[in-house]
Amino acid sequence: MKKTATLIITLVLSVSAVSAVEIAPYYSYNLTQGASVSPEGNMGFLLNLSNDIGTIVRPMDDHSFIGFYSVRYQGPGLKRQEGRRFRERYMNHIFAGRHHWNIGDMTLKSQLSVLLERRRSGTNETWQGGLYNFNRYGGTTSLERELYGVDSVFSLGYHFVQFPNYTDLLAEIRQGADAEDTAGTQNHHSIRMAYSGALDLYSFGLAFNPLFYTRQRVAVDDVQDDGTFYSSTKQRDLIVDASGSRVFFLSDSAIVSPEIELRYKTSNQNYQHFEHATSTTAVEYFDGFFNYIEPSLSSPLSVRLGDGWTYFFNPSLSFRQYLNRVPRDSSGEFLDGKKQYRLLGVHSTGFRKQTGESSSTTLFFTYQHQTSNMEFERYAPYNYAGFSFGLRFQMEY
Amino acid sequence: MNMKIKAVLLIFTGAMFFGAASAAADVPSWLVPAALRFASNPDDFFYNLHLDNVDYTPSRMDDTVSVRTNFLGTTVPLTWMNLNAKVKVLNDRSLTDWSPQVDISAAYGRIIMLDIMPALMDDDDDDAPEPSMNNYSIGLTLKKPVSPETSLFAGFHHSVVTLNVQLPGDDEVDISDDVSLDEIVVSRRDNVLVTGISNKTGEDRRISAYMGYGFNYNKVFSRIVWQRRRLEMGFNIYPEGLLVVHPFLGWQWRF
Repeated sequence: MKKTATLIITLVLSVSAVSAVEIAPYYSYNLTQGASVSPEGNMGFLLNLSNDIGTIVRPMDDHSFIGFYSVRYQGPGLKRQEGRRFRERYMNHIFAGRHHWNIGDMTLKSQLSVLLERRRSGTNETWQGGLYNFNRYGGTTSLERELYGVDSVFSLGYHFVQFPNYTDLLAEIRQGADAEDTAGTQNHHSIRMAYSGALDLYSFGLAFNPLFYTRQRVAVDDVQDDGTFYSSTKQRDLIVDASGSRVFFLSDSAIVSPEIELRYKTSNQNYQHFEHATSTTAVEYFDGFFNYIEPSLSSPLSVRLGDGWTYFFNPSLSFRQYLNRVPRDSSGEFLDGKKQYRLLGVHSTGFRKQTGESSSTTLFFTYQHQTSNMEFERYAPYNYAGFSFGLRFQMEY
Repeated sequence: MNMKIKAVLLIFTGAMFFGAASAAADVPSWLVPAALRFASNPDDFFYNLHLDNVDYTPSRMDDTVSVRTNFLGTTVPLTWMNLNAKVKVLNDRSLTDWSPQVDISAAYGRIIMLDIMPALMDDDDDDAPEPSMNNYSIGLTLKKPVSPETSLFAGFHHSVVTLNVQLPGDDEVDISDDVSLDEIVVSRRDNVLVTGISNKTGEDRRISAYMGYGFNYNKVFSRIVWQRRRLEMGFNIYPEGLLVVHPFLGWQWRF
């Protein structure tokens, strides 16, 4: 009885408290339907659907809580493409809970999140059985405060990324391993340490993202005791990102904000090249095969035209230079003495019309091109140009 | 398989092509692969048509009851008559400032052609196959106005579609010595979570969008609808469906 009375009093107090709580919902709906045209003139459809819903609850002046759920789908649209015309599609669900705590002139933000991504990379895969399905669990905490006049954010995050269905089919063939041996080789721990700052019209950032694989071993040049080319050392990657941008107000209605970014990736993973995909004969070994440096540049421009219309133009270029990867000629032979590179450009332009308080429609056109000294294109194109266009409808509050 | 069973299956397949596949002699090149895709997942196709008939948007603030029927895409040309009713059981802010509007909604439909076909085909010498269909949806929708023009809503619904063709005893198809086919069943039931937004664009005019997720089949779908006082039009998106985009026209009565 005493417990029941306590419970009722607690509930009444909670309800009373809730009535004084500030609550603000958030919602965003996004539908993009478009088509892409390859250099050969083949047309493919694309469809993006996303739906975000969240609530901000502020029970006290210094504390606020945010609950967030998002579901996204990306795949071919207009007509379903199965069989030999199958195109990869994926959907993901993100659940996040965030806490903001104002401590004097600082804000401490903490977030826990779960991401469940389901991928169908082949027509024979079900959503639950996708080879590249993954789950990501973890959290991030960040501290915001002004430091020497700069609005600064320090953040630290940890996530565990798990691929429940992944198995290395080629390793199974080459080494006679069973699925148990090669399962989970993509699972990894990810730590992210970042700093970002903003001063007037400038902003900049630096981030370190080491990855620690739980089962993936490093390939080596010599056959090991177990008869494989894998040592007992586990794979470790490090990705470093540095960026800087500035906002320019060209007029009352035009803004351009160029950004430069530099990414460096290094990994202790190496590459042992086999005669062909299912061969057990190793023919060439490359140390540091996955290491690269990649500067990129973008300069989004936005012009308000009045009556709810906005014009935008987003050019972007990125140049990836592999540090120790040798390109191949069209027959697959390695071109010794050269290092592989690729230049990728993605340039979008279009018009956006605000059609209501919370709805807008965007007509976009994107031109994408890539050039590389990698000429072996039996499995993937390295030199191409194509474009896509479509309509995006958005409602948000 | 006798002609009557073929006729039943033709109606099923005809549903897929909105009545276009009527002449078996002049089969267009796209028909065969489309029919095979339909055959591999017929329940998904009928379930999508069922979702065309279901309205997950909440009732408007001034309405207590609203009844809607979808006529393009299902009633026409499939004779799939349908009604969707929404009853507002709780007004917005009726308990606290943040208590939402609560609707109970339900939908039901019948394919008239399936109901009358046995009678049309029955003769004294031969019993006709007996097709039947059951489809309904029931659920709860919460709506919260966040500005004079904009409302957010979320709902949880249970949907069922079942098609059943009972073959007469003398029409059973022998699969083996011990096994025979005497019934064709196409069935799907799912629990659906829907979230969406509704924006008033003028007097008695609205635009609404929502996205739904079905838990049992990892199914994503979406609708964008322009609503007038009575008429509404829009399209549904089924990314994994046989037909990805389903345009529709609906009519509603509001009380």
